[in-house]
Amino acid sequence: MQRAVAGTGQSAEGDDLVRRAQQGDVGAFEALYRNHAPAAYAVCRRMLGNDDEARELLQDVFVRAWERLPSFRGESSLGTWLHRLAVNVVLERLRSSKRETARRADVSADAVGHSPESDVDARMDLDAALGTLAPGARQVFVLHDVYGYSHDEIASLAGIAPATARVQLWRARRALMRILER
Amino acid sequence: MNDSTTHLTEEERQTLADGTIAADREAAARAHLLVCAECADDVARLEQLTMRARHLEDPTSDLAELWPGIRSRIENAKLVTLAPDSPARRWRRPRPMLMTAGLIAVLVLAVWLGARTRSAPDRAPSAQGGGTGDTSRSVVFVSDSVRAYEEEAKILLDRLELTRSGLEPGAAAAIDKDLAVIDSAIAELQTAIARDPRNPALQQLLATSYREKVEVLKRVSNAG
Amino acid sequence: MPVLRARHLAPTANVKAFLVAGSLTIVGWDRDSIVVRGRLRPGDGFYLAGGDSAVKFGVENRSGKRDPMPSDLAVYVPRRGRLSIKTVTANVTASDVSGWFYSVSGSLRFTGSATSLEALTMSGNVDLAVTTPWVRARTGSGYLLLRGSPQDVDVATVSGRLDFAAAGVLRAQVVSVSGDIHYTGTPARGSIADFSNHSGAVELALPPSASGVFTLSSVSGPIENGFRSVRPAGSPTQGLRITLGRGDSQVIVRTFKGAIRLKAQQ
Repeated sequence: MQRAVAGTGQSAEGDDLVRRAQQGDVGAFEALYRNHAPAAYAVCRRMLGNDDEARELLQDVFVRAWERLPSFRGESSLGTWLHRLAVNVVLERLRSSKRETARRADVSADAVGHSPESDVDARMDLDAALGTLAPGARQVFVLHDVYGYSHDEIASLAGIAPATARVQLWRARRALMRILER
Repeated sequence: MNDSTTHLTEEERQTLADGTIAADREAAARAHLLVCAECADDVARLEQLTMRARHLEDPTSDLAELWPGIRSRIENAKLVTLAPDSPARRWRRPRPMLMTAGLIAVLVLAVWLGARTRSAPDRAPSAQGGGTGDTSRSVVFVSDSVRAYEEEAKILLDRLELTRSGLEPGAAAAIDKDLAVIDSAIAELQTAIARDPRNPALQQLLATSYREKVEVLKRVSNAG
Repeated sequence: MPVLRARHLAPTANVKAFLVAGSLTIVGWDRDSIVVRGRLRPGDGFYLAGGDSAVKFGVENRSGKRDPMPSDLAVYVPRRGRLSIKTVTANVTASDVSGWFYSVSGSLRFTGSATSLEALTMSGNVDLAVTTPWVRARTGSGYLLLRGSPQDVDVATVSGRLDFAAAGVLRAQVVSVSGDIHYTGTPARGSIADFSNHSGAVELALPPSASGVFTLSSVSGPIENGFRSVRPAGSPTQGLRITLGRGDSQVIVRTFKGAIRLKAQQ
């Protein structure tokens, strides 16, 4: 991963918090949450494309982090470990039928390449444009171009071939360019 | 490629823009940009996009207000409802208030599950699909996606049964016909995989069949 | 009963519609307005609601009869608008429009240009002759025909036949379970195409000038190489790799037991 994940620097105090949280200290875990939630939220928000779902999924991420914290060995920093966990949680959600079915079942304009609500500022920023991409395209673009995952890593996370990940990335870039250059 | 009439391929443009173009192709591709305004402009726009992505500021939100919900779920997970004569009571050990028997059980289970379901990135990634030169690791990754599709298909099938009576006439028959074709293919593939479990081509074909099954079931949701 | 409605609409407005039976003809035009004309059966009601940036229209069954009678509508919408159209048995014919189109059993037919197109049906036929950066189409037992110049293609049938005769495709994913897939044309330079079929055949009819690396593999189906003068690498039981011309496109074909045929067009 090329791009530094915010909050990855871990001090002795951070190690102590992790150790205490692993032993069941919820107060210590809350401190870890406050330190690392913004970075984890950023991953969720970018990959899901909307704030409500990202906030909902962030809770899932940290509940799962609490459950799996005993298995954290410190081989990577906690920030990196949480980043990976957030990516996995988001990908599980993106694969679930509930969201996809709801997206298709609602014959509403918002379900298909929705436009920004306000036309006052005709130039859409990249974050807003990301929100209009199809989930698969958005996840590949966010993981590769924003967070620096390799095609092999994305392929293994998403359960697709690396060549497919490459093609999806190119497709996502083209779609974003079309939206941003309107 | 060193002229303005034969343009760069999509792969060349994209990999030039993000700096991943193969070393043996880069010089020729860059030389082409000097003589082809169209390709140069396109690559420049792609570069700009990748730069913007790399320097994207993190979105922010008020996350402090989410903590109570997280804490509540963590605390609830610690509680275990015991029957009056549950054997588990005999295992209760004196602990600080926060460490109940339920928390111990949850942590043990979480560690066990965490070891069983280590996510794919913890393994060395593999690249190949396509039936030639595949590695055993690609079998694992594809079979992970097969499992994911299987689970998704089950959820959608349950939903189909609940909503079947509300489907438009003809839709149910179409769905059943499609599912029969796909399920027959899946059964054949599973039989073949049982004989040759390390064949990545079979796993990929199975993943494709499951994906199409999920696609059919998702289309059903619009047929109501 | 005739219908004629018109109102102003923003050029990039969202338009959604639902029609049970009959026909829906949609034309993208350069005016900032929507016009709907057509005929309904007696007793049915037409509605057109919304604002400048989003409208929805459709036909309400007010007769109380269970079996809907067909309504025939022709709609003109701004060509840069985004459409979400759903029908049950009504056939949709559209030109120069973009968006998402779904029918349970009606046919979907598209021509002209689009910014993106999704055409999904349970059992209807899909006929695409479009120029678009991206198209996605699905049918079960229906027939899917792809022509025109889409750049990015994602098409699949379950048991229906799939004919692929589009040009200039850069990325393609073409799937069937038991329907035959027929590809005719020349892979574009630098393109990547992936064909997958369980038991249906995959036939690629290529001109002598075709250029690409063709990786063909089948678990138990036959692989026939119509380019006798080209020696393939590998063996028919493991798969064949054949390089034609400069080899500057990639075509991957994978089946379980469907036949794979590489044919030289005369």
